Amino acid sequence: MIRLDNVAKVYRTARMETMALNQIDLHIAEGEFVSIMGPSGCGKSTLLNVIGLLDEPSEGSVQIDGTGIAGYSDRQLARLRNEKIGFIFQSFHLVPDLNVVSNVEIPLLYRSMASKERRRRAIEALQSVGLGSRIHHFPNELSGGQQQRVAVARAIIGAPRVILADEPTGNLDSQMGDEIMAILERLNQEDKTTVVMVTHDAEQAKRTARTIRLFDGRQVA
Amino acid sequence: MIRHILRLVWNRKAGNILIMAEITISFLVVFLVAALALFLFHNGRQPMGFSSEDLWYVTIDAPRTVGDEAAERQELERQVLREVASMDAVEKVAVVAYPPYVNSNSIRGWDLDGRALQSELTYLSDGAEEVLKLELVSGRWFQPGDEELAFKPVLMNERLAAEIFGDEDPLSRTFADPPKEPREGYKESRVIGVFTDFRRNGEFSSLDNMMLLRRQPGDPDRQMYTVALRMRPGTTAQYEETVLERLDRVAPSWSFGIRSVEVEREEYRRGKILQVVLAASLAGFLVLMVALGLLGVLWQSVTLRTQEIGLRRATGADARQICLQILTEIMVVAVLALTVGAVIAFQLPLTGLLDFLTPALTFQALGVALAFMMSLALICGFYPSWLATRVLPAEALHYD
Repeated sequence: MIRLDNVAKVYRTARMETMALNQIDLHIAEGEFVSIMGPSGCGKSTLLNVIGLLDEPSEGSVQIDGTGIAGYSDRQLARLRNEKIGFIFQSFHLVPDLNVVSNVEIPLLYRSMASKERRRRAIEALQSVGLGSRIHHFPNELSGGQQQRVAVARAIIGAPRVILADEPTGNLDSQMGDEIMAILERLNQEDKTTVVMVTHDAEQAKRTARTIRLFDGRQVA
Repeated sequence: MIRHILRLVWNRKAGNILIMAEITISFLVVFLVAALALFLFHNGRQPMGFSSEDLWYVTIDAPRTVGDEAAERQELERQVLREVASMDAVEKVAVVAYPPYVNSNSIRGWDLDGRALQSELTYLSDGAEEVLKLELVSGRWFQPGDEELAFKPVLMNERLAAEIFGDEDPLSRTFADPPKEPREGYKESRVIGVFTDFRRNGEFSSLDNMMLLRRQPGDPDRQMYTVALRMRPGTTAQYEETVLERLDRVAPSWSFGIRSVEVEREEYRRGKILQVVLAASLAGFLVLMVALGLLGVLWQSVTLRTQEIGLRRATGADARQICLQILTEIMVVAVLALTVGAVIAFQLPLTGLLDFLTPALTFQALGVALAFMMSLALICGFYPSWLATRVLPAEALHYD
């Protein structure tokens, strides 16, 4: 499902170069639940951004669902992200001026779809994460756990093949974190969605099928 | 997507209100300047109704007299007119109570079937139409012997005639009620002719009502203070001295001045254009400040939304869609602000403060101001929208 060959990512400024990722070879099969661990600054989020087509690798190649993305235009990459990838972020990234259902609808705005259908799917996604009764609330009216569940609903509304979660429980207490983990596990097991999750929590990493460890931009396990 | 944008704009109304206020106020300023410029432009394209070329006028500074002294004055007036008429460079002479560009006038107001009417009026001597080159539409001009008529002859411009009589023929019609108390020597006014126009204040002045009354020779109530001269073509300004010297010899106790109407017209034109340029400069400065402010506010608004832009990019928006969305949001705010501005602009003529604002002019000025402000909003909105597309999604998501 996801294949990275000899991927490197270098950030260059006028004064220095920072090697964020170095010779990463990675293959994640369809339906896998993989966690990425490592100390702060080791390149976890950079790796997730490269997998999620949010950042281009400086070297190496990336394939999503068997498609190499080298030479893809901004438009093509956006389309791939929209159709195949769902994102969940540590800080939720909900738009504060939109209510819950409008937040969830966002990915579908970039598809050709009738607004009624978009609304129906958003409500369905919210019901699947247990927030069917909160669709008209605004993000600031929800708890952290509820906000993250909205973010999960937003990530799954487009029925992506891959969910990339960047420390999805990092801002939540353990109970809410467990709730989010349970949703991710359900998505992985029931819908066979591939999940790649960056985490600092070893307990959560244990719940995934495989853990990739990074250190100074290198894959060490 | 449009519904989504409308929802966003509505939910951000508190933040958008400042931008809206800026756009609305700028729109009103642009509207007023556009209305003034259009008003002057339209007026400038209308005929003045008289010819300023080779037209001069002499002003007389002499005390008003009564009784025997009035008779002496009348004699002196006749001598002055004869003297002027005898000059080689003068084609024709007439007494015009309020010549073009003289900064005084006379207004007559009366009630017509419960409707308040008013008109500027001026007294002319016989033949003044040839001096001023006025154009007759129907009827006739004043002529010798009119003092024997049983009524007071009046000429009016087409505008006034239409206002009083509508489509009916105004000739030989009266238009004002007689005085309640009988007055000695009262004669009712009757229309003897209709002329195209006589816009004394030149081509930039509005087309107003104008009425001409006859100055009878030797009328002690209409003493002579201004004389209009139709000069032979090619007469230069040096001849003004000759006129003044000869008049000084005829009436040494009087003081004379002389002006070329063409020179007055040029000065008046320059003054009017300067007014518009000043108003436009002030408005331009204000609009520039507003544009910079708008640019700053929009840029800040986009910067504050960097994470949201990152999220939209992550969920499938390409750079073009982001640019289009931000620009559409700005244009929606601009349209709302301009709608408010247009509603206010429509009320302005009702206040009576801007009497030159006719409905047609209001529409035209609205069109100009709307087009200008929409363009301004588009230009100011384009840069922040373009900036939004430059943000890399991965960086935007971690923007603090």
